[in-house]
Amino acid sequence: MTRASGPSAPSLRSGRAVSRRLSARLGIIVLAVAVTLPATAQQRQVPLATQVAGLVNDGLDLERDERYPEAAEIYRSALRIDPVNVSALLGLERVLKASKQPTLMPQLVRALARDPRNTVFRAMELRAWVASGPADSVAAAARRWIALAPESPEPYRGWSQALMQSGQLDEAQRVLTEGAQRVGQEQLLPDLAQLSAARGQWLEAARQWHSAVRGVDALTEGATETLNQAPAGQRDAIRTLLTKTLGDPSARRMAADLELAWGRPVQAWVLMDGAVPQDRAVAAQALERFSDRAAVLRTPQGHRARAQALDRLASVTTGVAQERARVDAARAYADAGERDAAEKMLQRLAADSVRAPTGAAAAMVTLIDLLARSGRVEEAEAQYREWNGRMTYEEASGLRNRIAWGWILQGDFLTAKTVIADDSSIASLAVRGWMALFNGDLKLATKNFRAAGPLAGTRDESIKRTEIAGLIQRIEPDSVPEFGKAMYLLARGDTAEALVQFAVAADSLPPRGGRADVLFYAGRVAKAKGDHTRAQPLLLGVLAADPTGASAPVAEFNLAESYSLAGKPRESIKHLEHLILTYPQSALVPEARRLLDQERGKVPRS
Amino acid sequence: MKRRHFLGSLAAGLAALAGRGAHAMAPVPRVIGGRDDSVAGWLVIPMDDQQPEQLKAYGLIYRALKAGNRTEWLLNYRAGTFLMERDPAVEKDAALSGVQTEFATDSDVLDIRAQIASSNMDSIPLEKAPKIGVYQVRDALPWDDAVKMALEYADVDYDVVWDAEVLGGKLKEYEWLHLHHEDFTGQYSKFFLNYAGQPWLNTMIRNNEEMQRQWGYPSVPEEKKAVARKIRQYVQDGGFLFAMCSATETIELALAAEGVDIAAAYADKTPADPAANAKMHWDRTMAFENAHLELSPSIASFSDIDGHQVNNLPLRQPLGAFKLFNFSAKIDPVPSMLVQCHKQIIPDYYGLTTSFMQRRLKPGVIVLADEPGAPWAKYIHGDYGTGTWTFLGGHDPEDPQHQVGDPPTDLSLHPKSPGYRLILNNVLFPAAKKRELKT
Repeated sequence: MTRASGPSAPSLRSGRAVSRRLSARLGIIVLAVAVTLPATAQQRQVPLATQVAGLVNDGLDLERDERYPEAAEIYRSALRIDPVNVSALLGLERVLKASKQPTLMPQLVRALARDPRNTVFRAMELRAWVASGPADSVAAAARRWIALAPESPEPYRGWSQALMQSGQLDEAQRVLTEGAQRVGQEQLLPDLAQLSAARGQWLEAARQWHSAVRGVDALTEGATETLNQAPAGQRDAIRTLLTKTLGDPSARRMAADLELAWGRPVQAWVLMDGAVPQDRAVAAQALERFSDRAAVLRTPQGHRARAQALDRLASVTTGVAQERARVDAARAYADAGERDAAEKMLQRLAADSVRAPTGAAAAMVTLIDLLARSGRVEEAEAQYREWNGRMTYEEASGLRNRIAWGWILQGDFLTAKTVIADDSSIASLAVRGWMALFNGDLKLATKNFRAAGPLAGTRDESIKRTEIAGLIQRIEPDSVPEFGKAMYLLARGDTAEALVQFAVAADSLPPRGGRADVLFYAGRVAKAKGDHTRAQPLLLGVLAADPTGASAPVAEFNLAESYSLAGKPRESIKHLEHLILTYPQSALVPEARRLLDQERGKVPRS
Repeated sequence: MKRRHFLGSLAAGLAALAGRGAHAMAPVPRVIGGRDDSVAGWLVIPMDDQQPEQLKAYGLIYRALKAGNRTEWLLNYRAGTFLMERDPAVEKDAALSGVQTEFATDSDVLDIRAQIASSNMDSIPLEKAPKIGVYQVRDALPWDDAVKMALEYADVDYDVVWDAEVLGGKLKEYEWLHLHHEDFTGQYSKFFLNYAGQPWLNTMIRNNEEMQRQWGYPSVPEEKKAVARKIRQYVQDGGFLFAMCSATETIELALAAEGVDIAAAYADKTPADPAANAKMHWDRTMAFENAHLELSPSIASFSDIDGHQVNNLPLRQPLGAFKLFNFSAKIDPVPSMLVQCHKQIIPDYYGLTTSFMQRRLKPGVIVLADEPGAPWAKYIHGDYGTGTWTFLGGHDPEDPQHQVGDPPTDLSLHPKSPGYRLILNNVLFPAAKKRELKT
């Protein structure tokens, strides 16, 4: 069922609240009719319109609760006050259809008597006849409409759509053909295209959409929505038709939109790049639409295509729009992992922003963050000092912590401490916790992580901090410099050396006082890096250190996964079977069974 | 007399003495689940909603039979539960597969047998794991055949057989044969025009043409007709045939079209005989009669046997739900076995052949499931010679709108799929000890 939406649609409310409001509303109607009888028409108009709007909203609420008979009664009440209220009439049509109740003809006849040329009412009349009446009634209703509006494509459109919705495709074709002869084919091209698609004639649909889009560029979206549904087997033929047989810019833009819909952003941008309209305003519109659609993909290639479109958009716009496009392009490049391109874009923006400084500070936050992340900490700090006066407190604090983290990674803990010395934010407490951890001071690290709480930094950072806090709680000694060193090496990206240090740290710990946990953590790190040669002995070490501990089943599952990823199904199966039979109460058993099925080739790999 | 047969007889006697009617429905006795370190007693594999891995349970029983265990299929008792003597190997297998088992004492089993004796239930002994052949081109991926997916998921052994094995007389080695998305009219599922140039279609055509040349038939349609006749002979000689999707309809059309050209020109270089409908030999088919052919090469529909006509848009019917019939377990054990399920109403799903118009069924065909109020059946069964055939419409019970190129169905997400259970009922059905059937 189609439901009304948009800014006027009210939020969902409980059934009881709606019922209370409905009773009050019906009371108001009775009162309003009684009280306002002697009033002038002008005085009556305002409260009645408001009441009708309220009734329509109540009807929508009831529809959402699937209380169709009650909703129908409310819509009928609204129509008794205002017989030509389109929203109420459409609502009544929806709920009658949903509750499989008979016709809405009485209300529709009243509406048509007042406004016979209303295209919405006429289309509803057709739908009503198609759903319930004999074929000649449908045709008669359509002919009445045509007689009233002989030059309009709307009767043919409404008629054919009603027929299509009831599966009468041949009849719909006949109607559209007649309409095309009477009012011209151009006006009915989108309808012909939709009909072709419904018949599975995808190439014909593409041709018709192309003709429609060439006349009205805004129809591209509708074209994509329809052609996007073409079966995979038809897509190559559609591509060839649009890019080679037809090949003009509008056909290539349609193809670009379709490639995005089919998840091929690289090919999409190649097509779009060569088909940007000459007119700057039209070009801006097309590029904005392309970038919005590319953003939906959320893949590196999608981000890159979006960045390229925004980059190009910046070249056809000026002023604030240009600045906005560059900031968005920089972010999209950064999301695509193309830091150099993002940085270039931001530097260009910063240089131009002398004239328009409003967006420059926001752009510089991104630039400084990029510099700090890429190890150019000194440069980042210099830029930060120059710009921090024009940033918000949150932006400046975030950058300070990013810069401090940059210094930590360079081994300069002292400068890092200096950078955040005056910062009392929870994010800086988290940074202090990491510094303590890297020094092997597990007690201080725990204290700072607790003080930082779960809200410091991004969600990923919070999860990582919580995981490490949980791990160090299970380590008996308060100070383990080897473990701190291993964590620091890991933070710097030296995984191989970190794994060696984790093993050294584990050896220094009691089997149930942290050894199994540290080995498990190290094993998972190695596995996540794809280093199965190192992961497997570490995870086996967990089983040897504490075979009955809480880490044992999860370590064995990770071990099985590691063997699976390393292409050793036999070992994987052995450990999965052992896990299922040895730890039958473990929450991992269902997951282990699933992996076991995959290893045996019983289900496809997800 | 074996002990459990004695117990069964005793229970039946007690029930009779208590004066219960044959179809009285008493509360179902339950047994205790959980760990039991002793090895004596019975193992119950429930098949009602308590069973989290219903599909794998069939695999467990199949493997137990293969290992030499004897099992009983308790028709209509907790949705077709299985009962066997305890065996540590089976219990280990169940634990690994996630199949829930319950332990029962002799006294528990006595209660169960009493319940069976006094209700519309029966106990069918399963004695031998059937040897299974799945008809499919050898290098096909398993994901486009619901039965192969079910067999793989349940871990049931099968061999792949195709035209060479069928024409070479190897079918007699198998007790159960499955056909799925095959077009025995030799028209490549009538995808030829809509999917021209697709690599999978090219491979299909190449494989079929090579086979036709190798066996010396003038065209692929003629070679497929010969395969269909061999399969019919297999059933006549006592084989169990189970078919789904387009295989159901096209094998019948191929059998009826002996000597009649019903194939489009792209398949055999000559257009279909315009008078083909009048020349069909419906006395040579197993299930259908008097159907009208769809001779247009561009419409991926074969005849009016299918009620849903998924690829014939003007005639396409929406999906509803189908209902399994409730047979008398003691009088009609075969249909009862085929409809054992924890759900009686199952959402429908499309296939190139989705359903079977009732007016096209031959007299004597047993309808196992239909859509109430609709003119079609979904699941049908019948005898032919000394064998049986069972046809289930649709392509994939858990992918109602299955399209070419869709990702494979992951059955671990549907471990209690009622549609897939119907398929697996058919796998175990040939394992039942043959006895005089009253149907």
